[in-house]
Amino acid sequence: MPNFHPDTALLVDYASGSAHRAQAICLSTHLSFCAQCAQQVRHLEELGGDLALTEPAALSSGLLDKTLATLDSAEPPTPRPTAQARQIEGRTDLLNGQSALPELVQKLITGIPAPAAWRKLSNSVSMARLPTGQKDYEVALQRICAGGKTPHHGHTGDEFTVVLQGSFSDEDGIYSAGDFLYRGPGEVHQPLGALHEDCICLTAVSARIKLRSWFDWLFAPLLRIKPM
Amino acid sequence: MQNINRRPVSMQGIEPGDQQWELALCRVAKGDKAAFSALFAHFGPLIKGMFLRASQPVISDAIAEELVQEVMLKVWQKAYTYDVKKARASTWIFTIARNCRIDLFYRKQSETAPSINTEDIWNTLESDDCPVDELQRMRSQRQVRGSVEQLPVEQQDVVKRVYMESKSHQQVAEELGLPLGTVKSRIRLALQKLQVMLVN
Ligand SMILES: [Zn+2]
Repeated sequence: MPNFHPDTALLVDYASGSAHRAQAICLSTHLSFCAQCAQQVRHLEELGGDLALTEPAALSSGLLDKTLATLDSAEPPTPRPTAQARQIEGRTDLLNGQSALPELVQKLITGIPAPAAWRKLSNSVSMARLPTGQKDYEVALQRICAGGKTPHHGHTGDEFTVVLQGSFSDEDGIYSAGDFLYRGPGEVHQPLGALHEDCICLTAVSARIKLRSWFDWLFAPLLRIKPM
Repeated sequence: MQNINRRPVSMQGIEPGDQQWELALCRVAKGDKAAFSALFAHFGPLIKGMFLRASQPVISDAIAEELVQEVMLKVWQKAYTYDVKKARASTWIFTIARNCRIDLFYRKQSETAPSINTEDIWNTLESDDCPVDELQRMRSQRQVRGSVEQLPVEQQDVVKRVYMESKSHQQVAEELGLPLGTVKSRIRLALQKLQVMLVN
């Protein structure tokens, strides 16, 4: 069970449907690791049903008949394949094994053109961008090599991170599979990879990352945000 | 994990009519059009009201009715997946309507087709591994609405903007000219009083 969770307001945004698509991707990924937040979201959705479905607006007459007429011609419901059948063929070129990756992440990975794979950002960090159909956030997988050190960096925008495999640490703690992190504008941190294992994270970054020292500027062109 | 506060167990809050729509949904799952018509008559206008109040996207009356049809068609097609043990009918229909609204919002933004769709991201209906709190569906909507009316005005206001106008907490903060932290704490306090906060 994860130790770091999204704050309640974010879960509310997800449940009410107002979270940004990129945020929702990170939240949904966390939920597949975290029974506690998943349960919380169910309660928040229930509240949504109780509050959003309260003030009726009159329907034009005939709308029911129009809808009834479409029922028979509508595509019959296709039962969803069972969880096992839903496993998407692993993209082993991207990850070290496919240990229990959330279904959503697997689907996102299949959206990557085959040869893209990992791009090196520095000696210890590489990334693979994921197409998500929006332009406000760059959504990507990031890999920090075992023992890797990332540049000390601050943020001009929002950064959401969910650990998928392995672990990393920064000034505030050690993060492992399922942990959800948010860094806001102005926050500075320096993630470090765990010693014996690569760490793979899902990240959504809203604006260009600001680097701190002249040395870090060497990496700057590589960290520039290009949402897909 | 921290302490998880579950609501006290009580079967007494159940009104005689509480399971009416749950039963109707189960009948729809078997192809019952009379049950579907009854659900439509009840939820159709509520769904339209929800769409018309939503701030993103802002839509016309005609589009709202198209969406009502879209939602109710999904209700017809997905009813066989409805599990009365997992959700109240209003919760289940709300999530379908919410996802249709999100879909429309992204369609309007005319982005390139992504490899994933809204239901892959907002997939709470399908996560079958999540343990379900038997109690959550026992409270009636009337009770919940009643407790919202009991909240301090500023908490009520935030909760209504979030759920009835489907605004993010950030949008609400901007709208009210309040710091983000203030909006977050009003949401938390309201949820605690409404007894939907699992962790304190
Ligand atoms: Zn959590």
